[in-house]
Amino acid sequence: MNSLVFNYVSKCRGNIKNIDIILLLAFISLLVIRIIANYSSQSITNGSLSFTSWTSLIVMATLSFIIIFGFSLLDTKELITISVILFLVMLIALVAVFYFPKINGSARWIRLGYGFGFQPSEFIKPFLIIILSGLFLLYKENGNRVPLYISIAIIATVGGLILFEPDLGQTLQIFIHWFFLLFLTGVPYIIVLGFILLSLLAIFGAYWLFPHVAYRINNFFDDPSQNFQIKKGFNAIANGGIGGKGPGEGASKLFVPEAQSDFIFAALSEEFGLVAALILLFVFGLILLRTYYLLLQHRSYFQILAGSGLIFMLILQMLINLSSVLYIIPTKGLTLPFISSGGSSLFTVSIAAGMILSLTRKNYRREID
Amino acid sequence: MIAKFLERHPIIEWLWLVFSKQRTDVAPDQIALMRFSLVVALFLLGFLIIFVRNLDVVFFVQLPQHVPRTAEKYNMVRGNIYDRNGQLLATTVMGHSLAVDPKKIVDSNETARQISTVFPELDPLTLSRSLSKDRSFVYVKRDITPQQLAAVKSLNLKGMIYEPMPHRVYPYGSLLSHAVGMVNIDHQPQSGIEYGRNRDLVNLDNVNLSIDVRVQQILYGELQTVMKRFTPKGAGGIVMNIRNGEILGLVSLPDFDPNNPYVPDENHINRVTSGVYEMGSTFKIFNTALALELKKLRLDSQFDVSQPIVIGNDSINDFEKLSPILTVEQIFTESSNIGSALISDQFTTEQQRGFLRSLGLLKAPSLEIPGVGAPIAPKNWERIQKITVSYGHGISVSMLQMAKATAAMVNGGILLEPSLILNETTEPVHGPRVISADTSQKMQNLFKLVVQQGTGGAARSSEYPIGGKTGTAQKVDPETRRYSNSSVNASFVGIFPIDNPQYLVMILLDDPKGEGVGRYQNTAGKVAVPAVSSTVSQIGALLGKTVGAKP
Repeated sequence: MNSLVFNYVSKCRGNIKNIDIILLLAFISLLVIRIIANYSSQSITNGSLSFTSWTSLIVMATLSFIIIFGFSLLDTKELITISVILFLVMLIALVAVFYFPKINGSARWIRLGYGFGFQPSEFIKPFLIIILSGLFLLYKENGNRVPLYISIAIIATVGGLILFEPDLGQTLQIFIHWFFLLFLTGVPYIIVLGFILLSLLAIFGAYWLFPHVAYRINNFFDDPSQNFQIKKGFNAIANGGIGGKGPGEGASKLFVPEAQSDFIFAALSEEFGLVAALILLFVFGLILLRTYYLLLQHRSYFQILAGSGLIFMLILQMLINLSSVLYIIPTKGLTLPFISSGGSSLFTVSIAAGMILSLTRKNYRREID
Repeated sequence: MIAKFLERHPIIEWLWLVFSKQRTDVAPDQIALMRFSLVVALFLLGFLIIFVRNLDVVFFVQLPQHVPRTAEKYNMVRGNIYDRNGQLLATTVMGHSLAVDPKKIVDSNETARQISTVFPELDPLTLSRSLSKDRSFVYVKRDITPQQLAAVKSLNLKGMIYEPMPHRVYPYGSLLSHAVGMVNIDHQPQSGIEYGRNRDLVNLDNVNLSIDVRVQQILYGELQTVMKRFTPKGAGGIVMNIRNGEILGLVSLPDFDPNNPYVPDENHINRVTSGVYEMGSTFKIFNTALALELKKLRLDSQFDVSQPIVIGNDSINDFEKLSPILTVEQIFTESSNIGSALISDQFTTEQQRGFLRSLGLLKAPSLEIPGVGAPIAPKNWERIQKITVSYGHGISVSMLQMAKATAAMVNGGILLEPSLILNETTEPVHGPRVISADTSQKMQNLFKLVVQQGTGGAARSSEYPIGGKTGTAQKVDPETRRYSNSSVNASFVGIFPIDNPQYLVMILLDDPKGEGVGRYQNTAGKVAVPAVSSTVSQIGALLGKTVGAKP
């Protein structure tokens, strides 16, 4: 028993040495930016923040780091086992949400009391990506169609549950993640085209079926100066200029709805300026390119699928968020990975980051091949 | 069963063929990497678009303050307003508005009833109707107090939205209502400095007023006292530094609390800057100064004031019977109308008009706040107008104009623009010369004599040497359209220290009621002079250092 623990600890030690330091530092710097940005968006004019807020900001970032670090030490088998277990837990949670009181007209949250709660539809994403990668590996390795059918069944179940919450955005995301992995397995481009057309059709359908989607899209094509949230966001970003107004000094941010979550980029820009915005873009860009570079280094098929799927999830979410804030696309209620204040979002992307670090470790054994 | 169906069905087989048709010459991981590269390239394009757009927003998107008027109203954060010593007079804090999401409300009647327990002014029926609207956001009440917020929260109602919104706070309440002014619920400026310096304030610049809160408080207290004692319709007071035009105190009563400004419109009238009054005898200051300046007479020149002056159907009398022969000095200190009329015969109407114009008494003065009233001057300016103007009738000006012109009479002869903004330099302020230093010196002596021997006797009790001029003007009775016998404006414009004039304190009471029986009870000497005297006694100590430091 003792030797088992000893072996495990020594294995972990070996794994620590092989974690890609650039990626790890990039994720840590996102956590630092997170603390700064949240300090910024929560404090008013005189820049003071209550002790509890500071504590919770630091505790959250620390927890996030522990999650990243913990997941980065996992080996493939452990990663898959944990993913399957947590996926099943989240699946149960997705059913359980319907027994919790609705918030803003939809059942997305599991309330644990004392103000703690989480959104299973967020948490399920990284585990789903691991499971789908595994299934697609089996599908490609053996030429067996069954894993593909299973993946369809899983995506239909998960997507269906989330659609009934209802949470259209998350459903679409899950569906896109599944298709992205499928795309990597080499489906013909004609199918890809068909999928894109189908997505467009879905957007049109949503436009007709869901009033809030219609509202957002109409809003986008109407006079932008009439869009309150966008305009306030713009004011904050423009007000910050190049160097920013300084911590807590932002004034326009007070009027940006969701300045702590979806529109945190506006608050960050106002107080730390274009400089902070570009640093943020640089760090995300670095994470994307570094992961891409590491995946090119003779990785296993599973590593390529899972690594690409996870980085796709992070970067897509970040691009959609920033495009919304900068009025390139209609507002989509999506958080900015690592930076937005919410815990569910932070821990989800932390899990994904940890998994990416695990999959890109130098000593990662190609045991799945 | 299902598996067999999936394996065998011809449509599935056909779909599968299309679906699985892919390259076999390249390893699957190479395909995956190639396709991932494509997505990475697309993502990098996304980064580029965001980068360019971010630069665009930072450098080319116009901020509201660059597009005033239309966008100004959206800018709800403003700079602070301070007094000359850094006391906070207006600031913005975060407050809340209460809104609801009607879609989440089950029983709108019950919810409306509960909300109306916190806001008794809201009608539960109307509220219930708006709570059942087919919308997801309806305002219940904007800009609620923290106490109301807590009360609503404690009701634990569903569908409540607590929208943060900035709240403008005026810590001194009504004390500075007319000087600082106010903004409305949309933070659009309505009056005072809030309006006049809106451009600075929306640019988040702070504004420092020349007002000294301590002086303001003393003046305010004195005016409240006279409001109680003499129950005038209104009262105004101004304290001004006559060396640089800075206004240290400006009070107009009745007033309003900018934190809760829902009072009659009357209370929003600034009696110091926008109300214009026939000033009566204080106008004799300018009559006398002009005659002295033109060197038409000397202070000891004598006039026979025993007979009323008859022009057409009207005759001009003195308020009380005075000695038949008066010197210029006595005409001023005893405030003889007949004497003033006789003095005005020393110059032409054009000279009089030109002099008043040079003192800024014929056009609206400039000040940093809106609502500065324009004077009402005679249209035809004949001898009769010249005579009535000589003792302050037939022409209506504001207290602000009066203070500005009077300051020039005693500060050495320089006309200075009054200002509510702190003058941060110690440089001497320049302005046009309107009378010679010599005439100004004579006027100082006359002001001093008014207190020592004449109508301003009540100011002798002040701890600081005051000079000044009283004015009790009969008001026009709106019914008979003739001058009333009982209704007057009573004012006193005081200067202190009179031997080395630094400050002007003017108080005006609109229609004061005398305390006892008799004609003199509501005259300036009884109602305005004691108030100015008492004000000076209190602010003298505050401004004492300045008095000594600045020769």
